[in-house]
Amino acid sequence: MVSASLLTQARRSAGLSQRALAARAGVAQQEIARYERGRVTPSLERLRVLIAACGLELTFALTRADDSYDEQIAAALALTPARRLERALGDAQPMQAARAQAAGAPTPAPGDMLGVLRALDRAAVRYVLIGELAEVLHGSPLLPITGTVTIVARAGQRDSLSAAVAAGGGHPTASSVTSSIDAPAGFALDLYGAELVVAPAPAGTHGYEDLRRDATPMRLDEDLTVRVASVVDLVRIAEASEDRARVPALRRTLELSTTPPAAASADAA
Amino acid sequence: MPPENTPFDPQRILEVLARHQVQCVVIGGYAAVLAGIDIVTRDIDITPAVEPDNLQRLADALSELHAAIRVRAGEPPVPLPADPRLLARGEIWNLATDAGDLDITTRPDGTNGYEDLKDGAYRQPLPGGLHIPIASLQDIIRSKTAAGRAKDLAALPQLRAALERQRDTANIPDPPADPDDH
Repeated sequence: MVSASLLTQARRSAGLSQRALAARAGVAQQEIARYERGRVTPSLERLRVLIAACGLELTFALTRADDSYDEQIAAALALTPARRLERALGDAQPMQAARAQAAGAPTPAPGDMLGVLRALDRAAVRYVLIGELAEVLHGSPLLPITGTVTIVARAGQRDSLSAAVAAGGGHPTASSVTSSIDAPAGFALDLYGAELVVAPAPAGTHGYEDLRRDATPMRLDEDLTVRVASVVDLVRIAEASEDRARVPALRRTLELSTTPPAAASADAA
Repeated sequence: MPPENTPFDPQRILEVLARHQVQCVVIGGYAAVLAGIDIVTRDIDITPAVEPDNLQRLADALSELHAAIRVRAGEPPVPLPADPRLLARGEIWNLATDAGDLDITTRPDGTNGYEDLKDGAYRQPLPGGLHIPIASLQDIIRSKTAAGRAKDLAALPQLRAALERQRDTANIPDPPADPDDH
């Protein structure tokens, strides 16, 4: 499944349909579809040709095998997405407190991330969730310690977004802006103790419509279902960002969530 | 034995180690997150001194934390006997405790262990007037560079940027160039 996700990621980054990529590479569209569904595994040489047709280069490096994330990813994958989020937010709190203490700042109150998502829901904002919360919902082992909710909103929702921000006692801030997001707007939502970042088109993507196609609705409680970017797209965003520190954890999450453990271990070795 | 999906309480792990007067340095993601890095998982990494007296104190602390050896995902941890001679036999112990995962490495990559790390470490205050030594950013970078796994190398830009911020804040000059670096 590594080649399947790599090919999908490359094609989406290039903004190509399967048919367009097939035309560029001189192959049948069905061949691309079979590779991306994981029904057939392309040879390495074939994969390089297809990725090159996306305007990208598949590079290789030999690094030490690493299964250090596997235990925590496996433990997360055994839970429901809602429970993954609840547990990760709880486990992130002592890290946030320790970091605040080290910086000489007061211990922050736990942020109400679900409160932010509910405010967006009540204001009928159409969006795809990305960022650290989306990663955790897919089983990433990285703790969500920045206290930020990051979304890619559909264009033309200024009034809905303003209503959601106002409901959270929000005001603009630039502090949460990261290098992976293209011209985002950041808001500190004081009522929820969290920040909301609204990203029009994160690096490596073409915005809401691009991410919505593969996004998964995830139920977080009885009244709240959130559309979450696919883990392939989260890898795509992390790969395209200037700071690629999240890539290894996300890539391993992708591998373990789509591949039986024995096969994933063989891939890692 | 710690239950599965134990809530992560790093502060408690550190308090128990400090209360038992275990000589150790905290390394890894916890040390990095204190410097402002955003990449962290739910575990604590420490490098203890390997003298028999210290390993006895470490064994006592691990006993209080109900430490058990993590085997592999999906399998229950194996109980760890509170025996300093056993601890002396291994360089790496991946443990589950009733406050979360604790990884013990006596010689992190690129370092010579506790004696090498302790001089650069700073002391992080804990409740009750206790302190725990935290590895310096320079030493974390040294270790991750030597470890060379994809996740270590990917974290280096954030770590180096944090080190730059620290130097700017403290107005510390850059180290002299390596004489071998032409």
